Amino acid sequence: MRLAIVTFTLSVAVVGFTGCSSSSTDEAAATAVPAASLDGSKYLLAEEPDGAMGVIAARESAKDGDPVVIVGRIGGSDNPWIEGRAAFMLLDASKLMVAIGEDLGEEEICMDDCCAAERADCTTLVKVVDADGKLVAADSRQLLGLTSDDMVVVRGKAKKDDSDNFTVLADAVYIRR
Amino acid sequence: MKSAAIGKLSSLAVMVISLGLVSEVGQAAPNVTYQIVADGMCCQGCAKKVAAQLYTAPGVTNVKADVPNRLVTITAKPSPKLTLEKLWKAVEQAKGKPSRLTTPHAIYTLARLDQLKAADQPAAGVYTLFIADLHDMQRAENVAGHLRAIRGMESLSVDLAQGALQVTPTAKVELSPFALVAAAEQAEELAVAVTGPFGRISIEPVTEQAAGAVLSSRQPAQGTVQ
Repeated sequence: MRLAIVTFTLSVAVVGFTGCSSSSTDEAAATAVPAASLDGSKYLLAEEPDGAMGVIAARESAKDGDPVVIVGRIGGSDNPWIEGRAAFMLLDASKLMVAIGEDLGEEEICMDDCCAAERADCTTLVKVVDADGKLVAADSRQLLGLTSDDMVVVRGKAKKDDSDNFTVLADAVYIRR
Repeated sequence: MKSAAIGKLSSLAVMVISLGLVSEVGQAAPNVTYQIVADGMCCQGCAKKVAAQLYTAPGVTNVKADVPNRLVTITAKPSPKLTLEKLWKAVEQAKGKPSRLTTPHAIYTLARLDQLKAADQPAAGVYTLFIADLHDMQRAENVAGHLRAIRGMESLSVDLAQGALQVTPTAKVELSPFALVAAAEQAEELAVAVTGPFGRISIEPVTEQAAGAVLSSRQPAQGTVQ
């Protein structure tokens, strides 16, 4: 019984650490590099790219390998960051629409398990990749200067696996501030 | 109906106040606020669709919906890529049926074809741009030069009696009325209306006097100044 509890606790800890990313083994093996030693500016766009679509629309229409430009806000998860990696969760911007008269502090998206499927439909994991297509091993907050709730436009390619999991492999990010 | 109209005026007043506050603070490149009346935005679900489309427009950082008054307030970073056409089309694509767009400088009001009298119906396939006090050919030619740069133009004529330029696009090309208005602005002329297959868009400049009249008619709603 005690062994079962310990095993379960360890499993939860591992899942909690890796978040909901579908990280492959090479990504998991990558070693985090201090962001200061990497040039994050090459992943930042000075000008907003054209043709942005929302997360929900991209999930519905983009096929694996399609070039995409997606707009959204960093969020959609209690912790939208993948620690030590240039990856983060992006939430469809329509989920942040604030109706006049509503309390601004109100949760804009249900974070309970009962809404996990609905939440998945309006969020995506964004991985910032280098010229070789490898996930940049530096925390996106330090590398790109991103903060929670930043509205960003990411440019990259859609990645869909056999289970229809949707990820964006971004080569550049524009921050709407 | 009356309360809806009052609500719209109130929201305009709020917008004017918020712009005033920004200018008083004197920040560089302040955000710009736009308002669109979306007749088709009847519930929160519709509002989310409208917001989703608006956020795809460059620089849009915030969208607020006032469903009872069918009013959407958009805050955006100033950007040459953000055109009125993009905002209007975003609401159209979400089936929000935009009918009025308010910018810091002007109010654009749409009368759809079925709202126009028979005498005011535009000729099929023809767009007409009305310019304020357009009486001489040189000014008209200046506007025409900018209109010719619009993709899809086929023919253009000047009607000085009406103070207007008539434009016919190539077959199956739909021109944006806001592109025609932009051509007038580039020529440093004041467009007062555009007609076409969409109906008629009337353009009313927002002056300090007009803003003052709106402000004196209503107390600002609390808690909605951005």
